[in-house]
Amino acid sequence: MSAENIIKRLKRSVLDYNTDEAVSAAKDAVKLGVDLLKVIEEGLAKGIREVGEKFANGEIFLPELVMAAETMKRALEILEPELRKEKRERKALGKVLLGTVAGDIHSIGKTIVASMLTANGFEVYDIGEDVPAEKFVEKVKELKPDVVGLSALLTTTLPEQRTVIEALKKEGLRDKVKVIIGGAPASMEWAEEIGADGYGADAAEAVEVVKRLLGYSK
Amino acid sequence: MPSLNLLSKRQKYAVHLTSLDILQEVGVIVPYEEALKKLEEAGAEVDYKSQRVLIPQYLAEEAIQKTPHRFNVYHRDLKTKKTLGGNETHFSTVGFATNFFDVMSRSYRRVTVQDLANATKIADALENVELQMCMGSPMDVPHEIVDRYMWATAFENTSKPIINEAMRKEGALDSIEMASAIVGGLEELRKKPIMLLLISITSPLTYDRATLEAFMEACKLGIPVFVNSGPMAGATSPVTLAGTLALNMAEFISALVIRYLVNKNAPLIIGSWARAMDVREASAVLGGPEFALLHACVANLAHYYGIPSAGGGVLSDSKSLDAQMGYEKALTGVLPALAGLNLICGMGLIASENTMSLEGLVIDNEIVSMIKKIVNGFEITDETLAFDVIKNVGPKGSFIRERHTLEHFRKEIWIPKITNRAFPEVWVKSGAKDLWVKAKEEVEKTLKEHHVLPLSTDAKNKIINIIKRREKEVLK
Repeated sequence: MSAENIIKRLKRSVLDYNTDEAVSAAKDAVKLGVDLLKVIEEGLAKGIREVGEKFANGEIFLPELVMAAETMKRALEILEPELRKEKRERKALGKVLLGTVAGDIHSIGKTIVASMLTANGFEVYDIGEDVPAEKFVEKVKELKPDVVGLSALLTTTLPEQRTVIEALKKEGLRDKVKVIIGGAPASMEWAEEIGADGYGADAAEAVEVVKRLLGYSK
Repeated sequence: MPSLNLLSKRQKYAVHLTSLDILQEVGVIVPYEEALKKLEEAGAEVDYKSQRVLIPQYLAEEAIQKTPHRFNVYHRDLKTKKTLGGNETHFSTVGFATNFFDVMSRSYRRVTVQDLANATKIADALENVELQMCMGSPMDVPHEIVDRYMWATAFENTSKPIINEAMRKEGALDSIEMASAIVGGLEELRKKPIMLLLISITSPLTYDRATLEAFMEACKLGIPVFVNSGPMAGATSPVTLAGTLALNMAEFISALVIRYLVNKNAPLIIGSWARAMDVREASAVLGGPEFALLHACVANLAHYYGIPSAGGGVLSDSKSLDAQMGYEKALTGVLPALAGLNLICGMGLIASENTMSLEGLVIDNEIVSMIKKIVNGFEITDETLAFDVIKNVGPKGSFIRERHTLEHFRKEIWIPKITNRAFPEVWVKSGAKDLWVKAKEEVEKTLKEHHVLPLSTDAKNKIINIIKRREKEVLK
């Protein structure tokens, strides 16, 4: 089996939302010792970009977008540890860390933002829900993301977004990452008040904001 | 499956008995000798002077029983078919606007042939328009033969089955000749009809001669007939909805009798426009609650009789593409649909069927899509109850990444085409557009991009010749 074949299978698996096939193709890639960066870029990344375009055109919908991102993630879980062994790293548009703040267990909006960012070529780390400020700080130190996204669905948990920003400041990390916020009670005004860098009213806007903050668009 | 019954069995029987009494004791006016003779031979009491016919119960009952339960109409490709009758519900545009609404300037003007062509083409592209009643009656052609232009414009701009009026016997024959030219002969047209001829009874209880000629000619040839009757409660029928319903059904039964006496095989569908009179404006109300109620009841009675039923629905009295249009169209559409009316006609027109709106047509497509989703309901099986999925995800989990979601969402969740569900901020940022703006974009895109299945050159020439022939007669 050639690298070409692996690339085709990985791309197809993302387009078909076929997680099993993605895992099996990723394992074959490792076994065959093909160029892993190449199969990620030309297989998985091309596939997910195509999915992102289809979503933007209204041809496919959220469950498909989320599952495509999930399929890519499963393959990467196999490929990335191998890359690290080779001391190589994949070139994404940027690294984004996402989490729902402490006291809030809502995940759907964040999952959708994660999928949209993935489909737009970003490397996304979703660290879950009910994430305390210290955990955000710890993960920023460990993963060195370009952007941190803070999600909150409740009016009562909204102040936690400020708490995380304050914690990042205290640790001297605030100028090393861009911070974006989202969630039903959030707003542009709130973002300005707590000193966040950006705000997205929906997932598509979140992608635009991240692109703008990282200099990919105006 | 239709499930909504507004009338109990006893109530249906009471309406039925009243309809029979109306036919037997009040009768109908039938000003056409050929029809009168047939009715008299069959046992009706005929007064040739007043042209009034009293129809005995046994004849009415026999005609109801012998009406075909359902029949098929075809697209011009002769492959796609729609069954009218039984448990199916379909949607159609509605007919004969003389005005056109320009949404940008919020103004009205007269309908042209080009307007009708554009509307028909858009309706050809819209997936929820299943049959097409000619939406407009163009004002820029000789009025005496306007029906011929309507048929020709319809045949050219859609491949969906057409419902249209015809003027007198000659008009009916011309339309049948056009359709025959398209499908390859009268015999083929009889087998796979691509048209329904619409005839109207004038309430209360009166036919006119031109209508009877067209009606009987179509029945003779076995071409499907759409019998329209729209008594107006308080004006041309009793103000009570029950009385209006009984009168409306009596009129339909009289048509079933004529059909039965002319050709036992002829397909026919009743089409109710029973309505109320607005007691301020003296206008016919097509978007009111009475309209919805009456046609749901007509559906119930038609199922009781086992005959195909149609009627107005997805209609509105609003003069604009506003909230009034939305609620009137939705409510007059959903109720008859739930009651199992086989064909609901209303798409494309506003202002009490007076006015054509291309943007309105696109919005109607969305309303009908939503109604269909409601009528179709949802399945209950082990797979859809999804216990295993719920167990697997568990408390605190999310269903969004489940394969079950991926596999079922397209069937379970209605996906709108133009309805806006964005977050308020996103809506404001993208221009705070009302629905009609989106609809207008669809109109422009469809007119530019949609291709209608073309007519053969031969059929096209034959249709043009029919029109030329009539133009010569009219213009001499």
